Amino acid sequence: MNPFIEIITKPDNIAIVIMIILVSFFMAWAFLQAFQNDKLMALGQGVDGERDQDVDTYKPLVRIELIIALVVMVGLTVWSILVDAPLEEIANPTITPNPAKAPWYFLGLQELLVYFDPWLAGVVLPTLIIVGLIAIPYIDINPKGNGYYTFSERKYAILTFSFGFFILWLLLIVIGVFFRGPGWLWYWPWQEWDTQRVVFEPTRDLSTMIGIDSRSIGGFIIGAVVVLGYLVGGMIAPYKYFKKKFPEFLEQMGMIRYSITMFLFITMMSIPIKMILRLVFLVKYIWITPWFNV
Amino acid sequence: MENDNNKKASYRGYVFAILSVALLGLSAWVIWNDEFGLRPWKHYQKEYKSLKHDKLEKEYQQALRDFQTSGDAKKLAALQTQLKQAQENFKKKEVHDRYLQVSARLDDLKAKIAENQKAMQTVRGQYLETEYYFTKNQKPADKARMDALQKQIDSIDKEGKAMQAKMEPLQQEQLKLMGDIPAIQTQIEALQKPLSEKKDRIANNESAPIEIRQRMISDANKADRCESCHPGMEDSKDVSSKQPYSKHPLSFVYLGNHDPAKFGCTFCHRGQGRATTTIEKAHGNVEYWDEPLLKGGMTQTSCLNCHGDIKDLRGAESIIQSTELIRKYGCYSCHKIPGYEGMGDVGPELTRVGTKVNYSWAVNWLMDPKKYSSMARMPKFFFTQDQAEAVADYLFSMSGTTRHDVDYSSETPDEKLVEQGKVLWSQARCNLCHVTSGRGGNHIKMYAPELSKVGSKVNKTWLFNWIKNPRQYSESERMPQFTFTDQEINSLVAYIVSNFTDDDAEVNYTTPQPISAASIKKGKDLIQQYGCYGCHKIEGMEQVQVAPSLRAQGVTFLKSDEMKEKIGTELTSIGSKPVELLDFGKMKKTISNDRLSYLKQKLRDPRGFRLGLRMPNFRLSEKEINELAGVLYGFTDSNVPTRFLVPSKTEIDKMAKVAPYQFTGDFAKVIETVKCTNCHTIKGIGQDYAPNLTFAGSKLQEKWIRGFLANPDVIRPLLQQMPNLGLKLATVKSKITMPKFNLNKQTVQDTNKSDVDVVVNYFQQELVSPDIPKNIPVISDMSMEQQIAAGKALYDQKGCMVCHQIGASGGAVGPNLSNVGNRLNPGYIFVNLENPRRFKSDVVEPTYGFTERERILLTNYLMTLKLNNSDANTK
Repeated sequence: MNPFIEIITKPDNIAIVIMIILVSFFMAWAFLQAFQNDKLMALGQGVDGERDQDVDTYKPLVRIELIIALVVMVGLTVWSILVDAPLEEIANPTITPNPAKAPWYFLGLQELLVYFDPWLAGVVLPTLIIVGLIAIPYIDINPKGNGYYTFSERKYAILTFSFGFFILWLLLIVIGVFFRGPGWLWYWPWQEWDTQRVVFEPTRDLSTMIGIDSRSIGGFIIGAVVVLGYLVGGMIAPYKYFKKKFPEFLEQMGMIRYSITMFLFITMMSIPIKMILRLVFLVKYIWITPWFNV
Repeated sequence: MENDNNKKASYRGYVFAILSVALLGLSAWVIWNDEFGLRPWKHYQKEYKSLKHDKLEKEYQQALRDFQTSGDAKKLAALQTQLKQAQENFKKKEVHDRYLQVSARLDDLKAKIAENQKAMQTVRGQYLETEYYFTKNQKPADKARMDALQKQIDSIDKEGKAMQAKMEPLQQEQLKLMGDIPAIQTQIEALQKPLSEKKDRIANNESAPIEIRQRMISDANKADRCESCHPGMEDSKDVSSKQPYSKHPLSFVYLGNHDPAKFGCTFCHRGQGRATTTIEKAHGNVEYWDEPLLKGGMTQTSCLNCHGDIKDLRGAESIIQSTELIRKYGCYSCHKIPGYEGMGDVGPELTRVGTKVNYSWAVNWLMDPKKYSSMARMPKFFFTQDQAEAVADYLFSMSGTTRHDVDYSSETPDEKLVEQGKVLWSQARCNLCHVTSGRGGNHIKMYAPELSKVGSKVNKTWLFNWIKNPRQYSESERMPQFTFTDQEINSLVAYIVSNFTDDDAEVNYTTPQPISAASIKKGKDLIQQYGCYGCHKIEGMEQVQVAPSLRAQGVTFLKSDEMKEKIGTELTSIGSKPVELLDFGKMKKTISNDRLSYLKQKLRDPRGFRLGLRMPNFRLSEKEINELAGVLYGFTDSNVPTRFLVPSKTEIDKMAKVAPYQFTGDFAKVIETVKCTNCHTIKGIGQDYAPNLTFAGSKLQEKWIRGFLANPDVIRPLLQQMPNLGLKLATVKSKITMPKFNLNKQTVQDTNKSDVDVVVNYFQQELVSPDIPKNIPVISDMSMEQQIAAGKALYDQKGCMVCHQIGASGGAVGPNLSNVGNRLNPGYIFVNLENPRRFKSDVVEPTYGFTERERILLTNYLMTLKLNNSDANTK
């Protein structure tokens, strides 16, 4: 069978395929509505939902929810009758399955292990994701977009969310499910998974690129400068920019909100940066400390 | 707006209705699926039940018909009239009244006895309690109480016994009053018993529940539900020959020795014992299930899990045949295989091979052994000409020789000598082990080399020395030493060299050429890389043979400690090696990715998976591949509970610290030269090609032994050996007899006894069984003539002649008995008649259950069957 068809029809992966379809559909739909509303608002016309302060819960919502609940129940029942739980061979403590994959919802995090120190990828980043999600209501001071779709009024929030959720979370899951095979090597969908495959891809640390041992004090200092420079610079530079262009926005936000938002944002952005460094420049670590590596 | 909403609402009501109906339908589907869809075994069990019912019903009807026709029915009717009559009698007033009276008195008595027993219990309880306190506290008061209670017990007991005594006459009277009724009733029951039993069976079948049937083997971690779909597996009745209803084939061997309650099914058959939903799942023919069901002869691979010794194992025939392949090809030489340690070399010793063969032959052989002989066991290593020459150079220089060939094709052989050699060749029965021109080689487990072209391979001097004493060239050689004279050997050599030649033989080095040091070094590397030392002995000569000129050029030979490693993968648990660890390499897409396919492909084309593999190609037939793969599949490290293990005899001996049997004295020397154990088994040592000689001393008469050794003849019909050896019909006609070893011609070294004397002595002193008496018991009330006549009558009556031949008549399954009186000791016949399987387990002779007297009569008769010596020899 074609490896691609084989992999997307695997019982384990049906859920991911459904997820891809559903998420794409709703994302497209939401953006479409947002753009339409933006157009209307640009013409000075009102938008459905913008003015509505109170709406009946029962008729428009609960009924639809009930129907959807029924549809989902029917779907899940049929699915569970037709497709058996995907068991593999009897567990053998002496043999590690290859590839050893996490449950699908954690595959994004597992993918991060390619680029980050396990302590960062497995502990720090997930914690920051949760903290960040909790913090959203407190740092989002934009009152627009309640009850209706809009893009132009919430550009920053929507773009950040789209990047963080669609790209960093879902896309990495899809990569982990469909593109990572034995040895956690990259496989295109038309490639056969091969446990014997050998790929030679030497990596190096940032400071070794300019000829300094990354484990020496010099390397340590260079790494520290780069990492701390990114963190501090990444917070100060936008501050200067906002101060010059949108001082009132900065005023509204306040120092604490600004620094939390910015810290979370640049941490998020460090992920694609590190991925590019790793994939394009074969950089393994930027900064090596005795306790953790960045 | 409001209107719009209402419209949508009605539409949604419609959706609601559809979805609700769908959900209801789904619930029905779920119930059906759970009850039937996922439980196909229900159908099988029902079907089996109805098949069994039909069968039982048929049997019942048959029994009923038999009952009616055999006159039993009439008997029953007669008995029933009798019963009626008896009951009439019983109903007469005076009898009946008296019966009631007696019954009432009996009931009364019984009630009183019950009371008495209860009183007894009470008192005894008190007594035991008091006794306990007395034992503990030793108070005299307790003792007094005990005595009092004992008195009570005695009196109660006395009363009870008196009442019991009163009961007996009453009961007897009651029986008398009933007349014949009980007797007739038992008769009727006995008559109806076969029928009622059959009826009960039908009822039992009817009421058998339809359920999951599981065999739980906790220490092997198995829960086998196979019998849920195969309900007739253990049934004594063969209800249907169709799967899944049939019973286990040969169940008296397999299930008889392996109670399913203790072993389960998947222990031998593998498959997924817990699965019950589909056939594929249960049989393990699904992805991720590592052990698919084993069927037919392949199942026997599981015998290897527990049985250390499968040599004479019943029901393991095909795996026994397959394991022989490991011995034949010497897999254990390169791979570690449990049970095959210290088996000795498969290939000939090569330390002095340069003095034996032609250089050109050696090179060609190394490149492709099958080109020289299609029977060659040595695999192809895919050496190039250069490589083959390098290896040959190494071996020849180790033998202290140069590249040289001899060519006898231009010589004209001495016709007379050749003729003499030919006679000797057939007298010594060389063809028993060696094949020439497609003939001979009946002793298939000997793996002696094919000799069709040997005249173009070896030189005469070597051949002469070899025949004279094979062990002078190679200590571990198994070929017997025939005691030929030099003249005889010369004639044999002349015959072999002139007759068995290869017209295509290359002879390139009739003028010897020196060997270069570089080539030797290259050969050394190749030998080490491919592990030639696994099968051939190539050590021990290295110090002696390095010529000074070569040594100066840095040539050294491999030392024994450089050749210890087995170069192949360990095969101890290859049958359970995880598929992930098998490297399919470039065959990944060509063959299916399971263990068995991998093993077969590895045997078919060992180096086909990727570059750099070293295993040579044995060019096995597809049948051999299947058999060998089957054996390897049985080498598992599955957790076998120790209670299943059947250690081999050697293992048991090791545990019990029993040293393996060793031949002693002069006999050991005879064995060493003649190699009796190549064909005979003696005290567990040797092969089973010829009769077992463990108790030969008790079995055979001395005179006969001497005569036989001087002139061996066939005793046993050839038919018997056919199935074991797989002889083709064409070869059966040629007589298989023991070769003439020319014993008695010379005396054994150090002693003055002739070697025949040594053999006879050893037989009579060592190879005897304490179970076999020297003489048989005597019957005193019959004259010898009468006894012999009675024995002959018994022989005819029991139909012995169906299998045994006496004179010109009789069958050819058992041994010919024409001369048995000269051959066997009476004690052996006497004991053997009691249980023919006592000394040899695979004997076909039935156990007749003769009485001792009958055995004496038969023995006496058989001992009269004698041919005189001249007859015996011509036969």
